[in-house]
Amino acid sequence: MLVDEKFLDDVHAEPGCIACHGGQPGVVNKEQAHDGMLPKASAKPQQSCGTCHVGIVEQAHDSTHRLQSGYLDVLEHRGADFTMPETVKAYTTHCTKCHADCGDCHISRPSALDGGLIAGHQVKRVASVFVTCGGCHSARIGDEYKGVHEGIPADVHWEKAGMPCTQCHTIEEFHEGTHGTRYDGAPSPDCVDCHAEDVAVGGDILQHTIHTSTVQCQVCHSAGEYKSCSNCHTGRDDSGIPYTTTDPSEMTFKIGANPLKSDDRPWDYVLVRHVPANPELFDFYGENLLPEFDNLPTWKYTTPHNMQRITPQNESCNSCHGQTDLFLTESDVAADELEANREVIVPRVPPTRPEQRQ
Amino acid sequence: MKSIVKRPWIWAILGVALVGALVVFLRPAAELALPSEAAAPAAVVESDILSEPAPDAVSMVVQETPVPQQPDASVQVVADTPSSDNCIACHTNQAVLEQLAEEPEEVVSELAAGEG
Repeated sequence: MLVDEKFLDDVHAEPGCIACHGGQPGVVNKEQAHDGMLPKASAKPQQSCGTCHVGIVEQAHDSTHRLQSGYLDVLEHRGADFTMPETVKAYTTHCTKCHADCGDCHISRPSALDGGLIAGHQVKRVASVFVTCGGCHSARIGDEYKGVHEGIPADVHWEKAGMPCTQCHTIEEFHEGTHGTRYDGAPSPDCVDCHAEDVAVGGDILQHTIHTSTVQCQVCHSAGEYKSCSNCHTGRDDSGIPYTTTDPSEMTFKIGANPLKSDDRPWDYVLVRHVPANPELFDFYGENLLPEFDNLPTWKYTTPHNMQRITPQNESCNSCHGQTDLFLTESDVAADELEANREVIVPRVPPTRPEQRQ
Repeated sequence: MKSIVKRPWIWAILGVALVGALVVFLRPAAELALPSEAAAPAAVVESDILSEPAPDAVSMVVQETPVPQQPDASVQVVADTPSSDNCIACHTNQAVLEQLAEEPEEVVSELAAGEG
């Protein structure tokens, strides 16, 4: 691990390496010097970052990034029993690579990208949008935001305004503890935080007056298809090396019924994308480890990051109304997933409007 | 008084006395103004300098660098923060690290497929 000498002038170098990483002072032999050393100091944040940043470390103790509460919540809803050693083994072997503590964002690249220092151990106060955030959230968020997918424009917030992730997502979102998935509670960030006047009922835009309470913003303003994944399996090969397999991803655009309907998310229609989960996900480790798999849909509530003001589906009323292909119907869902997706399958596609309002 | 001024031989005596005083006064000043002419020959000076040992740059640095005091073995000092000098010496030196580092073997199963 090569440390840039610039780091030595940083305030974070003042306590000395051993203060955070442990190890043995005063010996030059590599093995002896590394005895008791913790390569990833922030794995024990109370003893490293937390000695100075007390409040932030306390705040981040239960954060979604650290505890992966979203994974745990979803798996438990699907019947995973974390008192079973088989389930724990499967989870810790395949799922915890996405865990992120302080150093994963502020010093290193995420472990899921095989780590490595971002800038010679210098501590970045604001994490890198593409190296850090994109390191984990690239396939389904970062690529959409940057317009990587052919024929689909980048998100207007990036394309026109160059807004980094941190401009909408607050530091509390990154650090604070949450329980459940990131879609629990009120939307955060919420489009109306900035666009309140645009979406006001009775405002200048008639479509907003008609649809704001029934249609999620992304349904009209997502610029096109976004990525769906399916059929994840886990296991170990003959050499004992863990592996995962998924089917090739697909670009999809599907409007589903809102499975998270609440006062905070009152809409009838939301965008959904297929997630790679399947009932046999952990079968290598034990039989039927997700016995209540159908409790949650495999077409999941989503918020694609490819927003544009004008999109193919909002050009006119009938660009969306009556367009059966845009909606998630039974014919889009695999037979063995029908039960899991009952609540998101649109029972009746909104009919074509006889007269178009311009 | 008038008769003395009018006698030319008095003026001649005064003039000689003045010139003599000037010669006596100006001679030491002329010697001070030309020290190099009065110095020893150049060959001698050069010889003296060359006979001195040349200053050793390394020893000069050592002389200027404070030498750490040897700790008293009978007194045990517990530092608040242990020295990280050894860590820094290796981990900021790419050549040393390349010699000592063991790259972890990248283990990816041949069965892995799709996007992680």
